[in-house]
Amino acid sequence: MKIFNLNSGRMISLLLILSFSFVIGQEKERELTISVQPGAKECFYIEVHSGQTLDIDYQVIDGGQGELDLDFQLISPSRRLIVSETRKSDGTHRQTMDETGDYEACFDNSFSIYSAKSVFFEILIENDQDESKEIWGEFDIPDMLPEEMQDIAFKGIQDYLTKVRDNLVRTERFQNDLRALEARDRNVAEASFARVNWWSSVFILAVICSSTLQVFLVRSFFDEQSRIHGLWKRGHL
Amino acid sequence: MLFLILTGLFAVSNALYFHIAETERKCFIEEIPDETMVIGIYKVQLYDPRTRGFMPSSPGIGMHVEVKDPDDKVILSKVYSSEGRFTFTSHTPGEHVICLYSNSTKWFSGSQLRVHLDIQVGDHAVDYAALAQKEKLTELQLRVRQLLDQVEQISKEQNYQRYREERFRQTSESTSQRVFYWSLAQLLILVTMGAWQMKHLKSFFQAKKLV
Repeated sequence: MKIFNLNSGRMISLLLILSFSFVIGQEKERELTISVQPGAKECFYIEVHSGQTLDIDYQVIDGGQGELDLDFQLISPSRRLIVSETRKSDGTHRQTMDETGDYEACFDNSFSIYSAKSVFFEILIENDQDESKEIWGEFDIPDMLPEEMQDIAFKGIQDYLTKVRDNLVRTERFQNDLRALEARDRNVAEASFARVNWWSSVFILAVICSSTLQVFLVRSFFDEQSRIHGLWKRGHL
Repeated sequence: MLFLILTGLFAVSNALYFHIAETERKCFIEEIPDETMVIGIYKVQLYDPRTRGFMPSSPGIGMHVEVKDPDDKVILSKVYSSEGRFTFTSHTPGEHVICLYSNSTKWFSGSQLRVHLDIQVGDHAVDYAALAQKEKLTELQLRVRQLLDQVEQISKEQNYQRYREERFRQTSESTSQRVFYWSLAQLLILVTMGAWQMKHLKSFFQAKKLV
C-alpha cells in the first residue's frame, strides 16, 4: 500500500491504488510507531520466505525542530544491502524476496544531534496462501455445517462478503495512511506554535537587554566615574 | 478441521522482532480512538553466549509492560512472563505509549533480549476463532460479524479523525493569531525602548552640561 506524498503525488497514488482492483487480499500486516532518539538507530527483523513479497512503508510523523527525515536501510539475511535511503521523510518499498531468512529494516537517526524522530511504518508480507485465509484472518472456523457449503446461494453470498471485506481492508489502509499524514502535519503545526512563542520571547528579551546595554555604554563614554570609562581610554576611544 | 488459536500461530507466522539491552526501554506509540481494545502478543528470547544464538524459550525472564494514555496517566503497569499477551482498552482518544523493558537481573550482563512483538488494534484484536466457538456461529454469521466489527472500527476512526483535525485547526489558527500579536508587541517594545533611550540620554547629557 502506497503512502502518498503531498498533494500532486497524492492524486496519482490514489488513482493507482483504486485501479488495483485485483488486489486479492493481504496477509496480516504489522504496523508500529516508534520514536528514534537522536544519535540512535532502531532495527526490526522480519522473517520472509523465498517467493514472498515484502512491502515496507514508512512515514516520519514527528521531528522535533521540524526536520522530518531519517535514514532507512533494508538488509537481507546474507547481509546484502537491498535498500539504502538517506534523509528521506517517507518511503515505500515492495519487492519479491528470493532469500529465506530474517530481513532487517533499520531507521537511522544518528545524523541528528537534538531531534528525536517518530516514524510510523507498516510491514506487509504477501504470499500465495489460500485466499480466504488471507483476507479473513489466519484461523479455521471450527465445526461448520457442511450442508451450508453446498448451496449455490451460500457461495454467492460468500463472494459478496469477500468483496466487501476486500474494500473494507483497503479503506482501513487509506485511513491508516491518512492518520499518519495528519499526525505529521499536526506535529509540525504544534512545533511551529511552540517555536513562535519561544523565539518571540527571546526577541523581546534581546531587544530590552541590548537597549539597556546601549544606554549604559553611551553613558560610560562621558562619565568619568564609570568603571567602563577606563576601558574606553585604554582602548580605541 | 484444525482449531488454531491466534497465539499458537505465532510460532508459525512471520513475526516481527527486535533486540533490547538490559536496561533499555522500547516504546511504541499507538494513536487510537476511545473504547478501542489493543492487544499485544509477545515472546521473549534470551541470548545464549554458549551457542551464540537465542534460546528457543527463556521461562525465567520477565517483561514489564507500561501503557500511558494521552494525558500521561499510567493505565497498565504489569510484569508479564516471557511469553504471552497483554491487553488494554483506551478510554480517551489519542496517542497511547506502550513501553517494554525487562527488569530481570537473572541474565548475563551485557547480553541482549530478542523480543517478538505484534500489536493489534480494534477489530484485529478480536480472537474470532474463539468467538465462533463460544457463540456457536456458522461461517456466514462469523463473516458478517467480522465485517460489522470492521465497519464499526472504521467509523470510530473517522470520528476520531474529525476530532484531531479540529485540534489541528485550532493550533494553526492560534499560531496565526500569536504571530500577529507577538509582532505587534515587538514593535511596541522597540518603540518604547527607543523613546526611553532618548529620554534617559537627554537627561544624562543635560546633567553633564554637555547639551
